Amino acid sequence: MKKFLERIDGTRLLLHPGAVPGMRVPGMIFADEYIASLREDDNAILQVAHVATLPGIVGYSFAMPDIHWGYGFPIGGVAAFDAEEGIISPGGVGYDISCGVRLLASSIAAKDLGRVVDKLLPALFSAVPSGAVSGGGKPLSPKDLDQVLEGGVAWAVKHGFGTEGDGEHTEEGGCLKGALPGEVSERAKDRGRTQLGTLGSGNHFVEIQMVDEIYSEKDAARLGLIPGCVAVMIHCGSRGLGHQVCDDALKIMRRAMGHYGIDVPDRQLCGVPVSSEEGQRYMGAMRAAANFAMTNRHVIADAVRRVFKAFFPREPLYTVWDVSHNLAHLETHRWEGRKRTLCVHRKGATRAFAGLPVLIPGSMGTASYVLVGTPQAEESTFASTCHGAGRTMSRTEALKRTGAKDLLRSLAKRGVSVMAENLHTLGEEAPEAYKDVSHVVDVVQGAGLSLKVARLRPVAVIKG
Amino acid sequence: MGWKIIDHTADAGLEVWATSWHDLFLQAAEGFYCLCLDGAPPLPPEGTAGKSRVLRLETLDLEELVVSWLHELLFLLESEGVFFHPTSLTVTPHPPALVAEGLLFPSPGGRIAVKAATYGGMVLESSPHPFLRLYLDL
Repeated sequence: MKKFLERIDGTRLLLHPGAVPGMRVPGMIFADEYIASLREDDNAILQVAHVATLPGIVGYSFAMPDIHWGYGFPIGGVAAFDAEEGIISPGGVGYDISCGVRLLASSIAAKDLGRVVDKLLPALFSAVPSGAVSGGGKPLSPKDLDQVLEGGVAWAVKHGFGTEGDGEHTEEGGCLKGALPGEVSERAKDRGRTQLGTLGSGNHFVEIQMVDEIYSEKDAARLGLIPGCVAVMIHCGSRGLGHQVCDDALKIMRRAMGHYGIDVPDRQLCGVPVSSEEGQRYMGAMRAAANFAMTNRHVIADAVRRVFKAFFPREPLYTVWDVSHNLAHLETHRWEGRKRTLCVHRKGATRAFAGLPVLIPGSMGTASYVLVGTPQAEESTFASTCHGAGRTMSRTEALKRTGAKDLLRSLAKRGVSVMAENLHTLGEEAPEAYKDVSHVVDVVQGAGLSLKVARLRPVAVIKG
Repeated sequence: MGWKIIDHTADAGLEVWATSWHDLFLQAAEGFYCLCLDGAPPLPPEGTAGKSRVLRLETLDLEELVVSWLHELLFLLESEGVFFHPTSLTVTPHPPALVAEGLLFPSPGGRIAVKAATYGGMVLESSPHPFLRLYLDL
C-alpha cells in the first residue's frame, strides 16, 4: 500500500488509484510525518482505498489525521456521493448514528469548582446513567419516542428539559428534517425506549473542563468561552436504537445491492443509490436516530445543569454547540466549478462550514479543543475536519500497558478526578492509546480545514 | 474447538474454530458474552429455574446468520437484562437457519461493552473446518 502513497505537502498524502482494483477517485489523507509514523498497519489506508471504489464518489476518499481502522469505512473518513448517481452507505455513517459532542460553558471560575468537585462529581455520576444493562434512562411511551425521533430536541424542551436556546445552538436546530420514525424498526425502538439520557459505554463521557487557552478572542467571545471558567463536554450518541437502525439497513441493502448492480469490496460498505426507495428509507431512519442522539445529549445536559445548579445556583451553563461526527447529510457543494447536491458521509469526522464551531474531544486526561470551520474546508473537503484524537493502540494492548490504578494515580497527579462504571476497563481509554490530540488539531489547522479557538483542560470525568 | 479475542485498533475481534457449525455458533456465543460482559461467560445460577425461550433465525447467508445470532444475544442482554443459555441448537447452512432452545437467566450486570457485531473484515470458512473471524464495535 505504501508505494501508492505520495506526500503532496506537509499535511497531505495522496493515495493513487491502483492501490486496490476499481478505485474511482484517489484517496487524500491529512497527515504530517508524526501522524503518518503512527500508522501501525495498512488496514485504515486499505479502507480509504475501498471507499474510493464506491459508485458515485466525488473528488477523493478523504481521511482526517485522526484516522484509524474502522469497519468498512475508516474512522476519520469522509466521502461525498453524487445525489443522483451515488450511493448512501450505512457503513459510512457507522453503528452509533450521530455520535457527537455537546459543549456547555459558564462563567463559573474553575478555582471555585475545586472547592466542590469532590461532591459534584459523584452527584453527576448519579444523575447521568452510564453503561447500564437495561437502559437506565427516562422510559418513553411509544408516542413520545416517535415524537423524539421526528422532532428531536424540541420534544425535550416541551417536556421541561433545557431551553429553546439550546436547540438554536445544536446542529440543524436540533432536528434533522425528513426523519421517518415509521422506518425505525420496533426492535430499534425497543432498544432505545429506556436509553434516552444515558451515556452508554466505550469512549463516551461527561467531562468537566476549564477554558485553558484562547487562540481567537473574537470567536471565543462569540461562543461564550471565558478563560479560566468551567465548561462541560458531553460525548455520546444514539445508543442501541442507532445501532439497530444500522444493522437493519445493512440487511436490507445487502439484498437490494444486486438489483442496482452494485458490488463492494467489503460487506460493511454495502449501499444503494441515494435516490432509491431503500436509500430514502434508510435516510429517514438515520435522521430519526440522529434526532434521538441529539435529544439524548440534550437530556444529559439538562441533568448536568440540575447538578451544577445545586452547587452554583446563580451561574447557569449554556450550550455552546452540539455537533455529530457520525452522519450523512445531503449538502450543496461547489466541486470542479459547478454546484452539486452530494450525500456527504462523515464517519468520525466533523462538519466544518465556515464559522461553524467544531468540537474536538481529546483522550481521557488530555486537552480538548474548540475550532471553527473555514472556507477552505468547504472548498477542499466538503466542509469536513477531524473529530478527536484517534486511537493508535488496541484496547487489549492499552490494558496490558496501563492498569486502572496506575491510570487513576497518573490522572490525579494532573488534577483530574475520574468516576467510571467499570474501573477495571478504564485503562482501555488511557491517553497513551490515542494520538496526541494537539498534534491532530495542528494538522487540520495547518491544512486550513479549521482554526483553533480555544483549548479546554480536563478537571473531572465520568466514563461510561 | 475454541475461541480467542484478537486485536483491533479501536475495538476487538473474535476468532472461533470448531468441527461443526453447531459448535462454531456455540463457541461464538461464549466468546461474545465474554467480550460483552468484560469477563467469563455467564453460567446459570444454581437453584434458579430459567425462563424458556426459543430463538429462530433465517437469513440470506451464513455470515448474516452469525451476526444475527450474536445480535439476538445482545438484544436480550440490553432490552431484557438476561443472558441466553442454550439447551439445544440446530444450525443448517443451506438454507441458512438456526433454531436455539434455551433458558433465560438474569445478566450478571455491569456495563455491556459490545455495541454490535460487524461484517467488516469478516472471514467465515467451512473447509477444512468451520472458522470465523469477526470484529465487534465496542
